[in-house]
Amino acid sequence: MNAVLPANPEPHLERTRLLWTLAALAAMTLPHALHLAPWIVLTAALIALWRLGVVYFGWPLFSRYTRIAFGVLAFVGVYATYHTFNGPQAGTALLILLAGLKLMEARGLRDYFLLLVITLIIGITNFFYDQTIPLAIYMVPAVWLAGTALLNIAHPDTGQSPLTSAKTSARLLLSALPVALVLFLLFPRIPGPLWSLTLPQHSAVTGLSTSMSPGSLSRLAQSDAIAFRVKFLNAAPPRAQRYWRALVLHDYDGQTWTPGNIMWDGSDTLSARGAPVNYQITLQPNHLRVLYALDLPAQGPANTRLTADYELLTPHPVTELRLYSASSYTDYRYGLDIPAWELRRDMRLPSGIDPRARQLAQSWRASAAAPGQIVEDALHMFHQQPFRYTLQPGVLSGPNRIDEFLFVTRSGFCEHYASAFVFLMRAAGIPAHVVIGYQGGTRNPVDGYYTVRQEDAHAWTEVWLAGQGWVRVDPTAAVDPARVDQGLAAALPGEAIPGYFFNAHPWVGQLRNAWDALNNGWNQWILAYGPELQSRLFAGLGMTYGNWLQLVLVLLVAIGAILMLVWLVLWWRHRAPRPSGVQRDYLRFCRKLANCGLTRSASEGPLDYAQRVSHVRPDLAVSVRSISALYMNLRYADSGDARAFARLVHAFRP
Amino acid sequence: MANDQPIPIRDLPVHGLVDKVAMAITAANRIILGKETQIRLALVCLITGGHLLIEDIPGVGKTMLAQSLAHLLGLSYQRIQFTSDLLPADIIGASIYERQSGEFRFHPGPIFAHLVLADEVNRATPKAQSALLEAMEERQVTVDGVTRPLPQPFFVIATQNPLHQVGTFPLPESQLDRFLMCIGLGYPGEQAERELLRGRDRRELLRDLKPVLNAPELMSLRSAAFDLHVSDALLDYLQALVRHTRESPRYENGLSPRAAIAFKHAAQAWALLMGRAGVIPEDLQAVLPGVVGHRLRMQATHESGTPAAVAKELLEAVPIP
Repeated sequence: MNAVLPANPEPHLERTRLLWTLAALAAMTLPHALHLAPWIVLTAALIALWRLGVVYFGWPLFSRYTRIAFGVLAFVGVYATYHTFNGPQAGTALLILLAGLKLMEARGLRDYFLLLVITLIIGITNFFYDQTIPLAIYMVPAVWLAGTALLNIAHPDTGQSPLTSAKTSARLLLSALPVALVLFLLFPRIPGPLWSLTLPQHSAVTGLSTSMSPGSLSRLAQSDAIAFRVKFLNAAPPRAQRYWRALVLHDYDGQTWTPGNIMWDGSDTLSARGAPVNYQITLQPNHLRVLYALDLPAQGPANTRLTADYELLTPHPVTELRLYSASSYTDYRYGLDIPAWELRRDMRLPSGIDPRARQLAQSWRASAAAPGQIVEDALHMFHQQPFRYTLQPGVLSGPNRIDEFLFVTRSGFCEHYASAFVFLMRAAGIPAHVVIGYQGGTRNPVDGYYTVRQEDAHAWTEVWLAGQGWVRVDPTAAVDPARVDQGLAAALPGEAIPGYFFNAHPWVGQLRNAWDALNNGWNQWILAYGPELQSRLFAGLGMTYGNWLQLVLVLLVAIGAILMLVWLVLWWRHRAPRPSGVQRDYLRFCRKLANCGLTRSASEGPLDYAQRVSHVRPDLAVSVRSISALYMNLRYADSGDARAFARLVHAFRP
Repeated sequence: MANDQPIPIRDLPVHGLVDKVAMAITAANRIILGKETQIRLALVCLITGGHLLIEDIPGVGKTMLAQSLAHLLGLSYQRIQFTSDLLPADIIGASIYERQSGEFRFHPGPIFAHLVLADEVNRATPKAQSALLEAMEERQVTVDGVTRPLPQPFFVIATQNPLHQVGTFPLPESQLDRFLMCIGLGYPGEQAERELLRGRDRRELLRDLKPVLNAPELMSLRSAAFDLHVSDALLDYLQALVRHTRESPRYENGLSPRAAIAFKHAAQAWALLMGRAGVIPEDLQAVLPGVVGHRLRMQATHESGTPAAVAKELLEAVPIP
């Protein structure tokens, strides 16, 4: 009778492989849908659906020419969308489309294996856009799913329950955790981004730019996104002194303030009083070459440059979270010995515009005894006359924007006041410039960090007075002192600013604080773990940082130690039980006989062995038999005198 | 020297019975020449209450073995020749209407005996086979709603022709598991065959055979065997063997817990027959081929060996702990 052979198992295998691969691919690609052009993820989804149709409803597979055409179209489409094949977006878009292309022709174990490897890479690329806790949490089950899928499609036993492979996958991932941790801590961190991840501007987060025009800061104030977090190592300065300096803007073209060309980069002596304020900043990517520092920074982190304007510049734009330490003085004087030609730069104005403002400045100049008086006059005007501090200042148009603001609308945000004030000062012959940055910051009671948000973006001014150097003047404070003393929410009680909701509901505010603190911890310990923290860790371990050979050795030793530990655990679990005393003696007896060429094979019982030995060596028969009988009694009948046995074995001389 | 026989049974009360069994073995050995091991294994099955499957070509003495055992042990004996048209009723019996009494009366089938020889069991249809196998497992038969116990002890020796014969229904693996052991008899040795050719007719010898034991004595031997001491060291070895069959990729599946228990019982009975009060590794090794040969299937990728080869390989692979 012939047994009926089971049907060819391949279709069934193919189905399992496809389903698992698709599940893993979907989980890894889903977050990309938030960042990529919709057609890319949609195309991949349609191909996946078609593949399901092929397997379940017998739809035709893609022909070779379709696949070639699709491949070409994919490249063309990506280029049309991103105008490049470089960069994270175009790269991941291509990767996803190519995964779809592979899906079109996938058949057999090898193809699905490759697809799952691509899936894992697609999973990694998610972190190009987003390195936050929610994504990290999302990726845990996604990686687990991918591991389970790998096990399921590769396991020769197709009947294996998915639960078993899920468990195995979890076990494998968990046991990889220590090695991952060691690699995370010890793998050399390269300063600056590994890939030049320049995300296109339209998707970049809102933040300061290198110029200032009417409306640029009030737009920023609509965002409660976090700009940076600060940890003061000693006492925090009061809010009114927390001016976070970013850039100094010198040039004005009638609408926009720009830094202009750096003309003088000479050394300057900062004379400071009081103790320095030391702090650590965790800076969110600002895509500028600027690090923010408390006014006025005396020392920045390594690899940065402190300009004569006391800006902290870095060689590369900050594209990923950056942790740095700096120290500043809040009571300072600088710019006393600045050359006159350099001062002239801060007195230039575009000609022919804003005649009324110039006129006003001239009148102050004529009446004032000293330049300081002119400053007072200007602030007095902002304070006394009906100027309004608002987020909705209306649009200034026409060539004479300063005039329009000073004499017509009289309502503006900090950039309007700073801009008008500097204009007036320059018109009155006092060197002045605009400083942009942030002002304030709120302490999070959960972890004690100060959070500075985009809504805290601010513009203020500095004027140069003989004998005093550059003096900070904040015209906004003259209009609305609450902005500087209490923050934006207090200064704009009626307006819809982003933090309003949280201030109105303290309970929700606490929740936000807790979430912020969690994110901050994540930032501090995971994301900001770069060369700086790594070198600190190395110092803590008593090693010198930067010695790559030593680093590699430490890495190898650490990983070797982990593997050793795993091996030890496995060995301990599977170790053979220690032989009992009787057994040890018997083995000694066997060794003695083995020395005479009568080796006992591992599966030879004591009786058989005794008989064999007796047969070969009749002279030993009596003692061998009695020793073996005693051993069998002791070991298999649990009776007899173990000491007598030991003595017999000891006395045994073959 | 007095103590060179390991773990002597002298102190146990079944000592006398064991001697009687030794006499029975000697007597059987005179009829079935040169097959002492097989006779002992058959007796091991009898003592542990398991059933025996003999797989061999016709004419090597399967029937003779069954008959002589039945004679020697004083057991009732029936033989069922399995054919393709055998019906379950031919095995179990049937209720037949009797005109005199005007009622149905149960006529017990040949299964109602201490020792049943099921000859060429693989020639019958699965239906007839399962009737026998059910009776073997339950040790009772149910006909027309009445359950009738089979005599105690109840013992089946089934014979099976090698499977590559036309018109056979090989027993499925699940049913093979019902047999404690599966052994082959094999051709007699040169010397034994000469004696066989010279000697008297075996049937005459059989007629002269006197029972040595009886059924109750067999039952007390059984309880003595099950009480025989099994040390932890021996169980370590047994478990190592079983574990190897489960973990090694050479086998399709490993030994079941039922097989492990059968293995232990068989080794106990073997040790008892050898006159030992404790089980030693050699006892396990002696019964191993019979116990595991029909239960282990080699993976298709490996060369499929005979049961003896499978057993030998297993023994060599596992060291005695």
